[in-house]
Amino acid sequence: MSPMPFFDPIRFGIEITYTIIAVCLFFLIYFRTKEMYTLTEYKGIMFFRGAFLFFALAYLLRLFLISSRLYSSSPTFFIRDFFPLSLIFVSYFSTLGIILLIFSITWKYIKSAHLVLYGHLISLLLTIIIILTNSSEILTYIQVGLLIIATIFGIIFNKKTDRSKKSTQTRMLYFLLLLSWLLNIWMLTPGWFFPSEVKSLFQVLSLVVFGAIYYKVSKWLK
Amino acid sequence: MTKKRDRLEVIFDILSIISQNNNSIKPTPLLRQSNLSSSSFSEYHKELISKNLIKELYDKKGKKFVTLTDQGFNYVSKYKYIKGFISEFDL
Repeated sequence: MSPMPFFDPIRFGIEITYTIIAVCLFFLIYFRTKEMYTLTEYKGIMFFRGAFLFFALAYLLRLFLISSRLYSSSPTFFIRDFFPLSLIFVSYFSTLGIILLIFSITWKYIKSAHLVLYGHLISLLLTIIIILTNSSEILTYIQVGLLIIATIFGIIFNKKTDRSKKSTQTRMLYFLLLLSWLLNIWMLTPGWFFPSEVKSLFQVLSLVVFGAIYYKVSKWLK
Repeated sequence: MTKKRDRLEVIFDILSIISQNNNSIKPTPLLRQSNLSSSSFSEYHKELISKNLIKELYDKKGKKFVTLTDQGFNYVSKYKYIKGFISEFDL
């Protein structure tokens, strides 16, 4: 087996720890809001829960993506073959997570009964683009576009309705959640030019954002 | 002018009325107290039964009563938190 020149055990350990914490927080949000949804079958809660479920899956698959990158120079190691497959699932789950988060705040203004279907179709379309290009950079560009759309929707619907200071803070957390994801994907591309310490700092800050969202959720779970 | 109640609020109102009547009320006074049209009430009634929030019982004389299920009591007790959650996350 050829050597793995870019393998950094400390960096990989940090990635595993980061992923475990992030995925646990997202799954906790998903499972702990289950009763609320079962009782009400409220669409907004369904989109909200779905967003965190797919973010959890995306972060989990991102770890496979990192693993396959680490072993990419090995001619025999089978993990390198996971790269295209991991990228497909990461693209699909993360795009769907972003779209469901957008729908969770806009569904009341979009009069359609097929939003979930549209979410899957848009995610599928973007995933096909990723399959054709096999590039995590393209995924970053597409999702930056989605972040811009989400921000515009956030501003438009915030002005349209008289929202409280609390919900404005929540929208800021949503923005940071999406930004964290994009930074995490950008870190995997050759275009990432910051040192490893900056990468770790971004990850710590993103965990603070995830923790803040979980704290806000848990306040209402009695 | 009073604000139109949303779906969750209407459900909460119906369940609260049942709860306040010692968990047993006939459909007609429930319809009257819930301030809904009979067609809307009928829809909500079916929905609440299908979601296992309420159930119908018959007394010895064959008269129908509506009561809350455990799930229904759970909804009433958690309503405040559910509304708070929806409001905080803009859902």
